[in-house]
Amino acid sequence: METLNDEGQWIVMMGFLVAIGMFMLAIVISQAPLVGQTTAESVIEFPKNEVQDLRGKLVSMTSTLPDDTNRLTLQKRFREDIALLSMSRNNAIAGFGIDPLNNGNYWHENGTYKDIEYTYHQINIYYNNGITKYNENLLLPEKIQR
Amino acid sequence: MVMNDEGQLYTIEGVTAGIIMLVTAFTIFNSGIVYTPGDAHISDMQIQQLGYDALLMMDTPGEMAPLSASPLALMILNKSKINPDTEFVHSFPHYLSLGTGTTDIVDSLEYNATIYHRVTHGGVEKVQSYLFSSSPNSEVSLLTREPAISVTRYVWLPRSPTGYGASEYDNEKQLVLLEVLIWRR
Repeated sequence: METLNDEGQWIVMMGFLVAIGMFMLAIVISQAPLVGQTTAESVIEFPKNEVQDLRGKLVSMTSTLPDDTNRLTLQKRFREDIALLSMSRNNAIAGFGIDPLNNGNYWHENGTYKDIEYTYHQINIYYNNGITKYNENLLLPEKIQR
Repeated sequence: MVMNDEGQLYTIEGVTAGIIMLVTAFTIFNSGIVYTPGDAHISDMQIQQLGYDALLMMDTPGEMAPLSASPLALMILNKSKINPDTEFVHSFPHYLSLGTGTTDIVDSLEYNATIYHRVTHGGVEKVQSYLFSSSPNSEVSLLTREPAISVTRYVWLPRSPTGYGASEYDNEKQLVLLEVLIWRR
């Protein structure tokens, strides 16, 4: 048997290195659609816009409550609309409570907290669709009339 | 006895080829298979955000006062029970197709909007719904459409739209849920 020709080993080794490098890059590229897919699924699944919508409506509503003569009716209507429609169309349990230190259901004249200038009404917002749970305690200041 | 040290390059080559075959086989049999097209949810996510943003913009009141009726609420109020919608059907697709002008946008989105509202007439609570608006070609495109995605928004109404009886729509301040299905033709 002839002696093995061992010249040109650098060329062979460089060939291996380049081939291995291309293989690694191909693995990275093949992961890209999968990563985009799972990221997009997470974004779709997360109810960011529902929570922002709910929160915006509640902040709007509670800002009008101090001047509203019919505030108990308005609050009740909001709470029951949100609860029923969220449950039936968004598969979510959603709602809110106002001034928990008093009785939690209604806008209380003295608020939850008070300092010299303001009364603070605590709005508890909750949202739960089984995957994402969101709770927020929002303090809404009301200027004390003198 | 002297060890025969010829053929080392052949040995290395053989071992390397074996490893490459093993890695290839491992990669193939270890791959998960995603049956949906790889980028389907990426465009779904973009359409969903587009829809939410359009509804958010339309539901922003022109006045600063909280709980004044937004343009979207006015569109819902202006669509009476018998007449079809004439405002949402123009403005919503327009907002969906708005671009910066730097790229061409393929305007292939169709939609169908439904209002869900709570009725308390007679002491019985129930959810009622009616078709609010739909794009002109939506029925035709139902045959070949892509799967639709749903966007929702609560809209504050100061009263009920005209034409509804007391048992169909509560005529008072309330929140209704606007659900829009958007799909590509």
